[in-house]
Amino acid sequence: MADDLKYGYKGAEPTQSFGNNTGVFDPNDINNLIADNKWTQYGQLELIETKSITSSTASMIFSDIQESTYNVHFLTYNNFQPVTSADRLGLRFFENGVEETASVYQYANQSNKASGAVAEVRTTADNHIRLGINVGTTTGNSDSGYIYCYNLGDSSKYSFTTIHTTGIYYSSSDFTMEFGSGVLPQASTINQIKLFIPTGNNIANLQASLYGIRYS
Amino acid sequence: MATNLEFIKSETGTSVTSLSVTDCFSADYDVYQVLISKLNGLQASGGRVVQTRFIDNVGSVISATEYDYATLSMRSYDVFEQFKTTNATDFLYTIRYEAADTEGGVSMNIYNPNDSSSYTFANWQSAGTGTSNRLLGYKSIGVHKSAEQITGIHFFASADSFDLTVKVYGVK
Repeated sequence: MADDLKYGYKGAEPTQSFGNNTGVFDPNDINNLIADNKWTQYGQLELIETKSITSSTASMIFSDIQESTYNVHFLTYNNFQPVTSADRLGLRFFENGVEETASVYQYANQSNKASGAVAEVRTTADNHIRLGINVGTTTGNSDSGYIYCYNLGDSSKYSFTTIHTTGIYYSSSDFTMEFGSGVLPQASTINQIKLFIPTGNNIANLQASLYGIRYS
Repeated sequence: MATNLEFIKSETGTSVTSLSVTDCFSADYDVYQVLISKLNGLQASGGRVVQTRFIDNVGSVISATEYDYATLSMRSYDVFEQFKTTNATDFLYTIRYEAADTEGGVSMNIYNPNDSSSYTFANWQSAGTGTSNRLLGYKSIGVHKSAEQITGIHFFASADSFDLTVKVYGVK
C-alpha cells in the first residue's frame, strides 16, 4: 500500500500495537508489523527449538535460545532414559558461550515417592542444576518434566529456574515426582542451555522443546 | 486463532510499593497464567517478600480475611519450611528476594476468577533468594474463599519499594 495511504488512512496513520491494530492491511503491512512485534496474533508460547536424542549421546545443547527476545523461557523434556542405570538429568548454562562447569550452582528440590518417602534435595555448591530423579534402564522407565527459566538474557541478574518432574526411581521402581528451584548465582548473560548426565555417562533417549514466552 | 497461551495484559511499576493489574480476568478464559518476570528490589538491605491479593468487580483490592494458603519454602542452604494459614488477608509468600540483582521469577496459575459462583484458586512456584543471596524458592497453593467475580490481581512489597513487571496470559 502506498505510504501516503498507510493502513488505509491518509495523513496521520493510527499507531499499531499488540491487541490494537487499526486500519486496512495488505500482506506487506502484516509482515512488517509481525517483524516489529506489533501485529496481534495469539499464541505467546513460542517454540524456539525441539531436539531429540534416540541413541547414546553425551548431551543436548540449545544453542540459540533467543535470550534477548524472551525474559522467561519454558523448557519441556520427556522420556529421558540413561544408558547407565541410576543416572539422572542435569542442567547447565553457558555464559556468553562459555559453559559454566564450576560448582557454583544451587538447587532446592523436594522429592516425593509414591511409597510415601519425602526427601529434601538441596545444595549450595554443585556443578549443575538437578532436574529429576535417578532412572533405570528398564523398558518403560523414564523421567519427564518442565522448567521455567528467568532472567537468562539479563546480564545484571542471577539466572533462576523452577522445575517440576515426574518419573520412575531406578532402585524401587517407585513413581516419583520432584519439584524445586535452582540458580546460577552470577549476574551474567546466558545464551545456551545444556541437558546432560552429571556422572559423565551418556543419554539413551530424550526429547525436549524450548519455548520463549512472548512479552515476558 | 485460539492457541494455548494468549497474552492479555502487562503492567510495570517503577519504584512503587504495590502494583495492580486491573481488568485482566474475564469470561474469555477459565485459567490464567501470571508471570512476574522482572523484579528489582530497591531496599537498602535485608530480605523482602512480594505478597498477593485479588481485585473485585468494582476495582477494589480485597484485604478481607478470605485467603488460605500453604507454602513450602525450599532453601538450598537450610532445611525446608512450611507456612500455612487460613483466613489470612493475602497470599504472603509469592517470591522472596534479597539484595539487588538476586531477584528471580514467579509463575502463578489462577483458576475460575471470573466465575462469581466459585472461589478463586491459585498455585504458584517461584525462585528467589534468601539469606546471603542464596537460593530460596516457594511452591504454594492458595484460595480466595469468597464466591465472587475477581477482575484483577495486586502485588505489594512487605516493605520498601520495587520495580516490577507483571504479565497476564489466558490459557486456552
